[in-house]
Amino acid sequence: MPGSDQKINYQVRPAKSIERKMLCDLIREIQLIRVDGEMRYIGLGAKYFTDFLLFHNEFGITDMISIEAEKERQIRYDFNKPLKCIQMWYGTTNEVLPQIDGFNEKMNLIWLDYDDTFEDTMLIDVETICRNLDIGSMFFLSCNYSFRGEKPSEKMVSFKNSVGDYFDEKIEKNEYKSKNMPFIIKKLIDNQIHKTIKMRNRIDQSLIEYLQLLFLTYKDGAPMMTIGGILVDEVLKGKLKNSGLFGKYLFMSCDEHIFSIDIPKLTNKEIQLILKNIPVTEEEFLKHEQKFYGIGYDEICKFEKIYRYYPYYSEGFFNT
Amino acid sequence: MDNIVKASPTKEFFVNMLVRDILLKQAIIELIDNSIDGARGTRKNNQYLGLKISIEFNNNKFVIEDNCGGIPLDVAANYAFRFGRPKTIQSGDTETTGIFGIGMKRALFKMGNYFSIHSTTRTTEFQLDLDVKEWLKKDDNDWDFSFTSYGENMNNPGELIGTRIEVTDLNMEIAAELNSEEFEKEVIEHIQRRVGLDIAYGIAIIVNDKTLVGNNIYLIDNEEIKPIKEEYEDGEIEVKILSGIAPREGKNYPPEKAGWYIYCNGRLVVAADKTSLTTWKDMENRSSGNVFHYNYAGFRGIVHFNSKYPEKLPWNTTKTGLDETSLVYLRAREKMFEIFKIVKNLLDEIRKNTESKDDGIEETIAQMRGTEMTMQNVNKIKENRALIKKNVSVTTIPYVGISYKKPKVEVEELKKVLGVKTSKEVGEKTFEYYKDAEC
Repeated sequence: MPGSDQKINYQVRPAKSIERKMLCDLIREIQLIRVDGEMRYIGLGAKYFTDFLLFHNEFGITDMISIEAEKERQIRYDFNKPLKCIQMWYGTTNEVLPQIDGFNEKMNLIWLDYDDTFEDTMLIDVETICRNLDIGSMFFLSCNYSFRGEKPSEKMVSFKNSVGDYFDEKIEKNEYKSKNMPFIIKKLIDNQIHKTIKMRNRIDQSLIEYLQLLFLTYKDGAPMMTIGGILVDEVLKGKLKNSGLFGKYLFMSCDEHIFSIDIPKLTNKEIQLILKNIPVTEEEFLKHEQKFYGIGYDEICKFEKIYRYYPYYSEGFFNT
Repeated sequence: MDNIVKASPTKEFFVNMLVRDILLKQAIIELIDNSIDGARGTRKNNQYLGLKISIEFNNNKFVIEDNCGGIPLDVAANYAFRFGRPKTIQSGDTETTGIFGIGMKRALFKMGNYFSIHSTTRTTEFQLDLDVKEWLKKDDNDWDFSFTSYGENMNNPGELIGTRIEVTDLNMEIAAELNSEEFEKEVIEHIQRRVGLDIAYGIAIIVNDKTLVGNNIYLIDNEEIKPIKEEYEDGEIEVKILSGIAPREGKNYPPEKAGWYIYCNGRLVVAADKTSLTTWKDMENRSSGNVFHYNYAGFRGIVHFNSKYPEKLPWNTTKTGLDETSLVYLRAREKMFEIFKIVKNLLDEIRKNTESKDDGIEETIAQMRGTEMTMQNVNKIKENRALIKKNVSVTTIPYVGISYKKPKVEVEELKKVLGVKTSKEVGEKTFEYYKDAEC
């Protein structure tokens, strides 16, 4: 039964923290495969710049752009900006992204971590990004996937209102169920990516492809999803496919498979106990069930999936 | 039977069919293009001062006369009157508009049945008269024309150099059109827009004794609002894409002037486009871009394609539109889409700002002056991708609207007292009175 413990972690958004660290693992691997160093990060730092600090610290990125829509409070954002190397660009992503150039100068990592529910403006950004991004560069998009309405028909109407002309008539009404929304959103994003890249390949006579790397859902209150990947050519695609990455990291996904960041509610004492005992098979668990003081096997499995990324609070969140 | 399937063209195809693809005003522009190409060949760096193209027409004849260098005799004999451009012809070192080997003939056939061409260069001269009906009667294998007279190795004085083309025995519907004042007005406007850049370079174009002025695009270009500009080379073609905000004309932005203007070698081929040919959404294509509405009336986009190989430019044979499948154009269009987003977003933001809490930015921009986008000015603009509202310092007093409702009887009473006719005036007068009395 969900109780007050469900709410405690909301403040620190553990799922978001886990997601960020997963992304770090992923980027590190891609960097190793690409074997080149310099990188630019474009993100939505908000007031906390958590992702900026993490990527700066992890990868030494010094070319960073934070897009901030709230132009009226520039002073506040400039004050909170934790690193000199972060450039603030004020305006919506629709306004700012087309103004950024130099995409072919280095590897770009773009993470549009929107708080909002999925809408057409996000697809306009996807188009801009796919027109400009070079091979080897990555982009990710996070958004809320809950739409108003109880019934699928109601959800479909509110989805249609949000995406306007991008609405896909071919998606049947009964597909608009809460659980299905990430797939519908993914479909629209994929359509936009493929349409833009197809045109790029046609006019440049190139063979660029988009390779999905992530398809995550999580809940820090609102239901959120993250999707994104990398632009590849034949060579890079081969390297990535042969790298065994998709087997190594269970959170990665190149298809319709969703990795759900599902955090079991555990106390620190329980966590310590699990850490000392994993990996544990169901058989072993059942044999020594009393050793786990009522913690369920499903909770152990869920925790095992994310334990490397779990925000153990000793980490401290005071670096901003 | 010989194993031959006939595929050779007929003269009638050129005289009666191809002419349907162009309008009369476009045919006239074709002839002007030829004169301008002559100017480009004789004057380098677009210094056209002193050059002149005169056009006169009525219901009996059409005459175009220029002093732009003349057609050399060998060019006339071997290329100028050929139907289609021979494979062997080399591209010159100038950016011309003549290319397909169809323009001049099609224009003349469109107009009438008898034409006479006289052209003088420094060293040659020729006269060519053609009765189209007689020419059609000749064998279908005999396509060639003959000079009425010609001269070589001459030393002609400068004032004689040039070309004069006269068309008589006009086609009936053409005679009627050439005789109408509306057509004269329309063709003048068409020329002023289509070859406006050349007029800006100094070439004089006179139509029925009226001297034309170039009708070019104006963009705001100052410290605060700079046009977006991207330039690059695409093979042998230089591409320049510019976009920005036009200055306001009087009290509004004429929506008919909004949109994209596309030039090939200085010749405007697409004007004020607001369709999916460029970056707009319409019935043909709803998948990207935006639908045009009045808020974007200040939008202007300019694309220049320039090349010494005019056949590589993305225009169609009538030079009235683009070859939409051209990769050169499609590559430019992908860039136009992104540039369009920058300007469109600024226009959206300005409008939103005016509607929510007018801080005077819209009016400040509206009062800014524009710069004529001649090639010289286009070249002066630096590459730029930033266009932001923040940069605009407000120079006008911002206005806000106030709205409220009051009982009709009371408003009517005040109308009488204030001596005004509308409720709006009652609102304004009472506001002014209160301010005067209490502030």
